[in-house]
Amino acid sequence: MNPTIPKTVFLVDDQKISNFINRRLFTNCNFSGDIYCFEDPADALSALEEILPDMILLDLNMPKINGWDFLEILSNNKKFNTIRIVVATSSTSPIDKNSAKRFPQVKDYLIKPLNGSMINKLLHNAGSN
Amino acid sequence: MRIHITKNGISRVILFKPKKYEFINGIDLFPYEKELSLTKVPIYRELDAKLDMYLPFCVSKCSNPKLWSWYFDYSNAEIYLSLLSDDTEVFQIEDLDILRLFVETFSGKYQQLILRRELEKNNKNLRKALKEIEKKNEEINSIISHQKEIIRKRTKSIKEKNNMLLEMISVNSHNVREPLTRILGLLDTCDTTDCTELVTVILPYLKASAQDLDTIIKATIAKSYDVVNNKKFE
Repeated sequence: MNPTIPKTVFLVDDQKISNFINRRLFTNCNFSGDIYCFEDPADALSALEEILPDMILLDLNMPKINGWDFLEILSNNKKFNTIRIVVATSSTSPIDKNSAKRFPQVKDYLIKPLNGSMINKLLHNAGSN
Repeated sequence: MRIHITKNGISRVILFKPKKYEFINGIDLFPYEKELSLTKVPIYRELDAKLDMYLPFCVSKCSNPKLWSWYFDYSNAEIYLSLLSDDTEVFQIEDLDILRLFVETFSGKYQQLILRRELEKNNKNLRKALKEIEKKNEEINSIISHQKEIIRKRTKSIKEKNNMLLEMISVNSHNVREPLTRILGLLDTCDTTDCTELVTVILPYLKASAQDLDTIIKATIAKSYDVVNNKKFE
């Protein structure tokens, strides 16, 4: 077992406040890597051309490009196979949870609000499943 | 020769004249035939003026005409046979056997014809009934297909409503909880936030999130009314 703590994380959520909270949770967990926040998933997709993160925290319900579209785009490019996707949604609907199973890259499905212990678990279990 | 047949309450007369015959429907019995029906005793008598009136055919041409009349009772038909003989065309007792044979054959044939006619009539009725049944069948099929269409439409409407409900659940789950999760998340960060940031950042964020929650709850209620009142889903 050789858990690799992620060094680069993307936070993709159309709500600036959500990204603020999640960034705060990561820093409170003593995360020392780089955190990039995107309110527009299109910006995250452009950034992916230059930066390959270890983890993406992805919201589902977003205007223009939603979480599902984002996952679809990612799964079409082998380059992104190594990225660990964590869905972070406010939806408690089992339909959404089942839909997420279609994407093997989605390793975790978290229901908001996130908290410190959730992030700790993510950081220390990353890459070890 | 005259044959009067009564069968099933219907009377017919067949008149055999020399070299031709005549068929008459629904004729009453002659007086001497009525007499015969009561007595059942065969009649042999001179033609009187009255009979002359009843049997106008060839009487005038006959010399010394005699009337012979018999009553035959078959199980389902009564036959009155009248015969006119004269000096030139004599009827003798020896001819009786052949006459009886003739009446039996005639009656048999007559009944056969009546049966055939009834059979044809029944067949015609059956064909008519069959046609009626086919027509009703068509009507029933049409009703069934109409019912199927109604069921299909209603099922479609129910499916649409179900989809709408699923969408509502999904929308509620996503939209209503979203600002609430922000509020909960922000409150969670308060422990590790200093006073200045609390007032300058967290509080305004809390306020904005609470307002978003209010807006979304109002919109969700309005949408629920729309779904219930939408004519498409009635």
